[in-house]
Amino acid sequence: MTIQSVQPLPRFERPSAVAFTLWVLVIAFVFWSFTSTGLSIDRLVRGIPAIGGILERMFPPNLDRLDRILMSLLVTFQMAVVGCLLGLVLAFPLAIVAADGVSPQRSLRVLVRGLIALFRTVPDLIWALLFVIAVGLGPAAGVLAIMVDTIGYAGRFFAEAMEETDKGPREALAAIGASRLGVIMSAIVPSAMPSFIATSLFCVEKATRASVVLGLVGAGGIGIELKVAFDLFDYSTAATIILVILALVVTVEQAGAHLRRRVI
Amino acid sequence: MLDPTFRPRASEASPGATEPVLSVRALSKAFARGPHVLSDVNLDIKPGEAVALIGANGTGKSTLIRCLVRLVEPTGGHIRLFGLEVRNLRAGSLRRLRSRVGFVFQRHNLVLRLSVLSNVIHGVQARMSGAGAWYQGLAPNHVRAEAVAALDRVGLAEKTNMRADALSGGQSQRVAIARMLMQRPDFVIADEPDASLDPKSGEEVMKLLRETASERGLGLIFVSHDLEHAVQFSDRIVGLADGRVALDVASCGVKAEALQSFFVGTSER
Repeated sequence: MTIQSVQPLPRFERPSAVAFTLWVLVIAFVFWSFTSTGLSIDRLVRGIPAIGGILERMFPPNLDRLDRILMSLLVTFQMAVVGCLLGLVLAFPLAIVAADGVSPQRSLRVLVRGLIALFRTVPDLIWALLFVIAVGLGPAAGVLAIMVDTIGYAGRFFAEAMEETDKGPREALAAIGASRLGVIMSAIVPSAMPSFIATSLFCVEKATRASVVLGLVGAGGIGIELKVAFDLFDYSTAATIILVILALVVTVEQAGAHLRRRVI
Repeated sequence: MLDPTFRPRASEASPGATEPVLSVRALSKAFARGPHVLSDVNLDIKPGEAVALIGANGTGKSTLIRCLVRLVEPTGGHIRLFGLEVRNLRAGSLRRLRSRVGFVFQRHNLVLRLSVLSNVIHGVQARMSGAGAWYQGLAPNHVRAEAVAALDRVGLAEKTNMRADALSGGQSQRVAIARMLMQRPDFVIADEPDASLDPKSGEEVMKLLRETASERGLGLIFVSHDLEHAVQFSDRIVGLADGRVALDVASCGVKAEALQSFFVGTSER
């Protein structure tokens, strides 16, 4: 073969008729969605004075109930910590069963993957509503909702981290007759540990943000305080609540980023 | 430590009329919708005998040694190891058989994020289960002491507490040999243990492997592309071409240059 006879790939490929039609449909759907949702520059401009009015009534923040707000914030964070911890502990064995090449049985793997997908795809707010019905109003419902949400999130990422570990150490241990559990705990888990830690820290951050919102549906914590403040048009107290929530979320995220840098 | 004058004595290594520890008959392996990688392979290895497996890339060397402990499932034929028909073994029996076979890999296959000590302790999983065999911090004192002794045997006692990813290629391979010693195997398989190493490290690793196998009277089969190593560290040289045994000679008196002619005409698949 001479160099003259070599035809390099074209710079751009002409799409097939099916691909072209799909692209047109997707773009049309996006435009339709903009018109259907009623978002317009005009409405946005007309809403600015209302937002300005609320912001004006928020400041200065009302610190009269700060002690009660901080106690609710503490309960919120405790919900996040306990729910997240339970979720991570339960996600670990489920991820082992769900991971391709690690799972002891294919049918069990499919079943557990489906369960993890269910936990992940149903929003945490829906889980909170279900658990409020099941165990009543209060932080326990929030803990359970966060736990289920964490299993769905961490279960998937733990499983993927284990699937992506180097096959070499696994083969070395399998070759000397190590048990399946021995291979998992000696070769797979240590190799996947950086991903486990990163995922766990993200889960704590995610749970902290989620725990605030869960209170809005009666699952305990500071969310209910925020709802009551807005319902009573007490915007200056709402501002205090929003600021302490912001402080908590930023602190947790910064601590997570610091730990990730140190541990990984 | 390494003895620079070490040269195994053939009389020690090949005890003559002893029953083979490994006997392979008519072994074949074909991957799905592919050609035969191995065809009608026959091979015997006596206790204490060291066999070098040579051949061009793609002639089935790694497949053959993996078939011996069913890391790759053979398609046909018989493998008798320690008197057991390997192909007939169920999962539990296969695990027990594998626990008696040390396997040293080309890429050493250490868990890089763990300490050297933990990696060596992993070898004890061949004869001990439970958390004590997973991580050095959980291992019983006698296991930790044995692992340090194994590291001392391969000349790396001072690296005990280092992370495995801080080691050089030669050091990593020596840690893999220490892990194999920890296993207390009855037979050793090594897949290109000298590959990817500089000439000095490669020779040290091969010398160590042969020494440790010889001093315990273990049968050894190793794959090597270094013909000098094949001659120097084996009692017998077996050559594969197109998945068949095309050469089987005693190493004694063979010149590495003479083996070059074996590669002429055996092409890579």
